[in-house]
Amino acid sequence: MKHYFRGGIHPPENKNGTVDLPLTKADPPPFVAISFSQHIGKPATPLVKPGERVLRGQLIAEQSGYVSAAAHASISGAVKGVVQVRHPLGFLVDALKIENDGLDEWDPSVKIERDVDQLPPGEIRKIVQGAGIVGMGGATFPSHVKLSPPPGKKIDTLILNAAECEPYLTADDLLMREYPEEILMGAELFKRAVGARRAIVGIEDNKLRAVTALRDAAGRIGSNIGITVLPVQYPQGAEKQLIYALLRREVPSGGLPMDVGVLVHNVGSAFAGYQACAFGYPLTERIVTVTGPGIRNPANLWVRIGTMAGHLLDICGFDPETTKKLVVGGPMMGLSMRDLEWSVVKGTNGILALDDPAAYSHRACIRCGRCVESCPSGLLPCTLSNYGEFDKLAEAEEYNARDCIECGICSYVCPSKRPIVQWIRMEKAEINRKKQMEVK
Amino acid sequence: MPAQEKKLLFNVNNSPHIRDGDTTPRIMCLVCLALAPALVWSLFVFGWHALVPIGFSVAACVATEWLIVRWRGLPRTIDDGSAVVTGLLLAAVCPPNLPWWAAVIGGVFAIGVGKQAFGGLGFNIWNPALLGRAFMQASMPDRMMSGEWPHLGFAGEWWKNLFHCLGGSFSGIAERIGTAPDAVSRASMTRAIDGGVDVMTGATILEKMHTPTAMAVVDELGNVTYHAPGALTPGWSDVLRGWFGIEGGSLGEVSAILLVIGGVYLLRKKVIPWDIPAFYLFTAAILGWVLPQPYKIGDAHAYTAWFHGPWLAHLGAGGLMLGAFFMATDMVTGPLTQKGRIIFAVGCGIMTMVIRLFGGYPEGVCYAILLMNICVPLIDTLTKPGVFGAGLKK
Ligand code: SF4
Ligand code: SF4
Repeated sequence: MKHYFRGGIHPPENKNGTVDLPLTKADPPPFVAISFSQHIGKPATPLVKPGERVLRGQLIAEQSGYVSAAAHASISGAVKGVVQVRHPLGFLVDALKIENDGLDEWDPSVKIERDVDQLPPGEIRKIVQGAGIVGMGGATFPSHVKLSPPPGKKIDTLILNAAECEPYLTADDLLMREYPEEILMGAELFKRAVGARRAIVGIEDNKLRAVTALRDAAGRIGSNIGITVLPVQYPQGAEKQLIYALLRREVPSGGLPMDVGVLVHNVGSAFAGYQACAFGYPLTERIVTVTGPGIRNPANLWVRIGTMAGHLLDICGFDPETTKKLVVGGPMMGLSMRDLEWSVVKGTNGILALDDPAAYSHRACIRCGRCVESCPSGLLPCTLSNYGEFDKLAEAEEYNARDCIECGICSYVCPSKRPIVQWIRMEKAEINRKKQMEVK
Repeated sequence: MPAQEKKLLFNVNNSPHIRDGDTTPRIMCLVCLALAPALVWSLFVFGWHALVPIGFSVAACVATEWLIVRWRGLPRTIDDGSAVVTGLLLAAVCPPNLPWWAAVIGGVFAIGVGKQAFGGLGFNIWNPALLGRAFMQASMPDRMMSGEWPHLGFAGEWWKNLFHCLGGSFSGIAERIGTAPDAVSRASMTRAIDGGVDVMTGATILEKMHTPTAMAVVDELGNVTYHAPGALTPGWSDVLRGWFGIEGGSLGEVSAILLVIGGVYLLRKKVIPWDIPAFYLFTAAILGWVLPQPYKIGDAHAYTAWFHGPWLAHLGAGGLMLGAFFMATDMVTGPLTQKGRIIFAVGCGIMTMVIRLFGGYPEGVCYAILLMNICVPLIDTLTKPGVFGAGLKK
């Protein structure tokens, strides 16, 4: 079967800065600020008080409601209190500040040994939930929710998303090269949790070292998980596109992968799932790619959740002169941060110091059709951009603005440098607001 | 000072944070470059005075664009280069001996009515240059129809020899003008002489092929039989004259070869899609070969046999190459999707050949593209891409 999906582009990969470097551990920071809103859903509820000493891995905020995720201390030290940090979306949220005592003492509940081979599905879900695992590719949807499909939705295939199709990012690549067995065992656990028949890793052909590592590991542990190599194409890592490329199944508009019997998890989540099930480790650190023209020593670092951005930039040698824009995530879908008042969360896969070509002023649409050709959702982004510019909401809805996955391709290819996605986001927000008003 | 101690502020804007290097001004600039060989060639075959329509048309287009945009209180747009492209394309479809004021009128109309009246770049329905030409054709037909015959003003002996080899003889042209002085060529001849420029005009290959009159052959017994006119079976020299541009006609249309070179350059630079020129030319060639060619026997119409058309002459003659590579590929007035572009291009090919063979004008490219331009909204609606996952049950 030829693996492809509709539309898409191949922007310069820019992964060379970090792809050949070894994975290193970032020095634990003097303090961390662990956000209560690291996931999609309700903020977690704090459990500890200022002055209290917490240990690494200790639960510091419990999930509040079903779609929510717990948070754990990523260092040992004294709780300083609640501070405000910037959410990737720009607003301020509460976070717990913990001062590092440098001992890195683990909570006794952690570092157990568990035989994962016999773990029943319900147990796996519970452990994943307790470990506060969320979608680590950036979506940050609580993993335990995804592992508990509603009755009636049969999942037959688990897909591990290893596409890492965003330029610059190499965090998943490094993780797969260094911990292939853990990832595959995590996938086996997730597969068992949802009762899937098979599991497939979808990985792009610019990560052949990781492919080899995974294949070798599969042989070693006797796993029959398929490793499917896909041609590089952005946005391969978008769920619906990945499912189509691997299985030729089309997730219905407005639907979820489980509507076609598929569950997609990021490799990072599978790794975290295995760590939690086998050793009781909650999610307290992750790999972050720090790179871009404004970074002197790009690196892939193991970073404690809650580490302030400035700490990482100092480790990697940050040049404020060339950096016009600080992006968290990949350059295509990541968010630009206005300052350094934010800390690493579970979904932070990269920090990029970029210059700012998007500061171009835009021109009129010349109807070149490039956006139409490359839109993976089959929309007419140019038409939608005109509706956005001239405030035509009803037409935008009719032209399926809500099916846009905000991959950013249209803005990327536009020779007139039109901020198309920005307008579409606005339209989507307005349409949703109207819908909600109607419901009320 | 460590980054974390310094108050730093960064730009905040929407993703994506990287952009493709291609820009609209670059696209326009490449179109101008691709057009350059054909325009330079026209200076070579017609002489420096061909600069008059080129210069005045570009100047008029840019000035009109600047004035109207300023008057509408919008940000300046002349730096996107689209007005220059319109000016060059307009000049390319005008005769080289066009007076300066006519070029100015055409340019003002092309930009003022053809583009800005619709809301500026991106909103016009018709190709502005072609609309300008259609307007001039309607309002000053004699100025537009008088294709100038090349006199190789700057050419050396070598070129003149080649020209002779290809069957063009100066005396022959003079003869043609002398023996069949139709009103148009006489008028332009006089005007040219008035203007002090040594210009000769004559029928282009398309004009000759447009419903010519049958040859009457009388045998010894006095029976008259009619044969399809020789113009309908042009020889190699006629065909090559068209392709190489040693031929009368509009300024930029003379050399099909140079237009193809410019077009291929644009294809390689990914400025224009391959489908429009490919399907346009293919359709025109097929129809040029298949369709019977009309000619006249007295007042009656007759047709040559099917599958005998001079398709190669049709491809190289007139504005077909300019139309296929530079006019029909105008993105603003073409369809958005590939499916749409193919429909559009095939439509252009059909209309061009129908007008050339059965219409009132010898050349059909301009009106064919303008007609297909109006169909673009319909084509776009019909070829709207299917939304991913739409129509599936949740
Ligand atoms: S951002 Fe939306 S409209 Fe633009 S290309 Fe991606 S899916 Fe299509
Ligand atoms: S890429 Fe830009 S200029 Fe081209 S059609 Fe889309 S919006 Fe218009």
